[in-house]
Amino acid sequence: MKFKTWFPLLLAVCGMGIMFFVFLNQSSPYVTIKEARNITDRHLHLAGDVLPGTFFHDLSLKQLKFQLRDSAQEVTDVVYEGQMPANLASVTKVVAIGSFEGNAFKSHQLLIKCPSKYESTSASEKARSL
Amino acid sequence: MDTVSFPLASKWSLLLGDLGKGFIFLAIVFYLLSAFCSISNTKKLFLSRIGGWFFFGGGISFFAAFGTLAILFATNQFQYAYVFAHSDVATELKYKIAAVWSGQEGSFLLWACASALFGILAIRSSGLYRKWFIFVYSIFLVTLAAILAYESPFNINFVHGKAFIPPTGLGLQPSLLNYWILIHPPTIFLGFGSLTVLYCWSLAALIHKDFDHWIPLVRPWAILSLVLLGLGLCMGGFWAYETLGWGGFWAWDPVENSSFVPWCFLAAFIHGIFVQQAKNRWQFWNLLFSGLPFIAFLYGTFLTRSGVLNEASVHSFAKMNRHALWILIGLMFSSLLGLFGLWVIRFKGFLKNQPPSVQPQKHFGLHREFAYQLAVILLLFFGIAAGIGMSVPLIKSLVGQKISIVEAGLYHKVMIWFFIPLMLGMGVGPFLSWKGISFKQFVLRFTNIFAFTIGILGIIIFLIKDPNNGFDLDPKGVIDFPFGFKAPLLPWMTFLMGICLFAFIANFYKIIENWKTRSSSLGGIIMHLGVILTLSGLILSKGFERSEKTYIQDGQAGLALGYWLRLQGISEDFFHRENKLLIEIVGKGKRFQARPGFYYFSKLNQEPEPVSWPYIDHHPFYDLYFSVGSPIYEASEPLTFKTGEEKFFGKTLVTYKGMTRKGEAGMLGTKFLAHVQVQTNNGIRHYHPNLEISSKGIQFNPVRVDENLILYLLRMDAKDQSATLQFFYIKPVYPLEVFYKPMTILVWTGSGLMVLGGLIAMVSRFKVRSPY
Repeated sequence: MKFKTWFPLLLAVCGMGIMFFVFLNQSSPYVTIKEARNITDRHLHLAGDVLPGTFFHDLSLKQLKFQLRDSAQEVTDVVYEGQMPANLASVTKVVAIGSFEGNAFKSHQLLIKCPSKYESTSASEKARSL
Repeated sequence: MDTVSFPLASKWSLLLGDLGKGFIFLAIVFYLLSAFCSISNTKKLFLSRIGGWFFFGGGISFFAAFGTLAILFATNQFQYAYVFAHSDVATELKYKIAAVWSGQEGSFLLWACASALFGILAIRSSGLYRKWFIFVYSIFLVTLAAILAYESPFNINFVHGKAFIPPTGLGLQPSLLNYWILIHPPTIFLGFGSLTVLYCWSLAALIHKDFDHWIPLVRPWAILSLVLLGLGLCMGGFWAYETLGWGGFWAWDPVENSSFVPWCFLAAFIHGIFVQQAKNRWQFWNLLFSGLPFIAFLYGTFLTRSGVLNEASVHSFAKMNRHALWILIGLMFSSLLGLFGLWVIRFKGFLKNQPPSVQPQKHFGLHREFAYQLAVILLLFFGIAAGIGMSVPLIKSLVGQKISIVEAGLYHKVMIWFFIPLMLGMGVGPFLSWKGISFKQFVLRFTNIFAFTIGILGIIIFLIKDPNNGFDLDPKGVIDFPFGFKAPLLPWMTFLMGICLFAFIANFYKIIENWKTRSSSLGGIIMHLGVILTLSGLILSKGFERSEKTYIQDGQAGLALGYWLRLQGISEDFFHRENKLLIEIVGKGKRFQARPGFYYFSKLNQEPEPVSWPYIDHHPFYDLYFSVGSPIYEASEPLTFKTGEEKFFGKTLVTYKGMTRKGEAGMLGTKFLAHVQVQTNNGIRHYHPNLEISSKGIQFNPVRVDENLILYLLRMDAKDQSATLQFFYIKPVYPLEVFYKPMTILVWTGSGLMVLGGLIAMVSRFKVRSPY
């Protein structure tokens, strides 16, 4: 194989290898509350259920506070400083992105599931329940 | 609700559903026959002709199924599960039609229709390749129809074996109720459908062992595909910007990436075509590049529809029907194996019988083929990077590790390595000849362009540093680089602006040159210009973005980014879909009214939910973007008091004196009163919020503390006599985030130029007659 052929291929393979390495190692992990307490990464993804009635807006600090229960049934306070979603009242599941500061999980981004054109017809169950 | 009181579905509506299912099965039959006829003894011309008719019939079957589904939506046939889940009686007709493609099943049907349409249009120019083109295309459409047979939008919700029609359905999600849902999905699915043409042509060429004559045939279709897919991508970004309220166009979400990756591969293929047509080289690579976009799209479809990314995206993906999923997986792997397997088999034979290239004069210096090579490599890397990024959750789960996702910041850190050389290449490439130019010629050629770039960049920096010119930059902004390195925002953005400006000026200069000669490459250069402007707009609007949060309330203004915001009222009523919050904006010499949308959406059997739309105040060089959050009624956290305890609520001192009961324990009408003393600057007052035992359970009886505050007793503890109190606002507080987003006009302009350039290029290529 000529140099002009194998060298670009080698570069391409190395490039892809580097990309794999970077993406896999520097991607932001989904963690439980217990795991999050021991990791200092600022982009941890903490998924869980919002405890009903715990939303509170601290207008002076421009923060939203609530309590979140993770898959291990542990509960933590979350302090969110990002943009306020419009449909907060109906939110039950969120992914808070951030890290622990003290006893609270400080979040700079909240992911709330949004509707997608690919939602399937599990609503047939709702229809049958009418 | 009692289903017995619902009317039974009419016979014609049930027949329609059966018809819809029947059309899907008919499509399977037609396409199987088409595939059979196409590879039968082609000396018998009538078989080939009939095969074409069967192919056409399959397409008509898909369109008929689509039409049937549209009728079911338009006539509110909520006995069908898919209609029930995505429509309701109050939805306007146009959104009912759009609801056809708003879900899993309907979007598969839209994909099938788009693919069938392009098959019908392209078949006429398939020439020598017709036999295998039709065969491969038909097999693909059979598979798609088989998916639809399992993932069917025509399933009825039978209750005790009967089809009752509920009075209404669940309706579309409110954020989908705007004009973008009418145009974005059809556009992008036309783009997806067009990828099938390229894949089938590639495979047909491989089977037919003719790797040259298909290129002029496929070229205009490839450009059309690029235009449609690119336009669809841009529409998705505009939709996100105008409705989602987070002020951005692009989030590197898997749904977005599953369209972006094929677009990158497609752009690589188009550049490869140039080399094959001019230099009679890259035949084999182009066969691969042509099929890659389709395979990338199949993979993206699998990722986004199978449910594997459910925890790793802001989009929620329902799981496909199990059989349909296995068919999709089978389609994906067989497409991949088919293309690569055939490609490898043909490779050896190709090397032996390689056609003579047009012998170039000796290259020296920089030459055009090198530029195209670089472009192809960079575009492929762009696509591969996005593909790897969106696959990380799947890879992690497959190797038994915790799921993680790639954030936007990490994408930017990786993509910048390809973005910079790509921009430089877009600027330099159009000026290179196939023969090549020496370094001296290069310097002479580009001296003017560099000079213009530096000059204009200097003027831009001068302008944007002065806030009086409408630019509002964050002087303390920093950019994060890999390995913890940080750089000040302005120098880094200046560098990126310089790169983009260089590419823009170079291509603009080239357009003027080509305009005079009416060169056929004019369309491509305009497309380059469009891409440059779009990317520049995305970089500038994000890089120089500023935002600030504030809160407004009736009678209480808020301040953000130097603007005072005062709530003036609402335009309709809170349950009207067109309702707007009327907010007066005053500041920086301006006074205007922002009208973000805000209303409450009532879902079946559920509490009303607030829905909001951002308001965008467009200016030539920037947008002011107002995003409304969920209204806030809670004025304090729940505060638990022991008897005699006092706490501050702001500057107000609240003392809980104790609890009394009026009435007998456990009897209806009995009240539990909290004695609360509230001390403000205006003096001391006493209040008695209480809980009452009513026939409907515990009734909360709050007290009004001032014109905008009420005090609730939330709970009492009979054991320790403690009480939990909470203050609420009577008039809600609206959180608002105000964004300053410079140069978003470039995104809109660039998108338009991309489409214009693509159409010019496509039309000129369609005019090239095929000899077949």
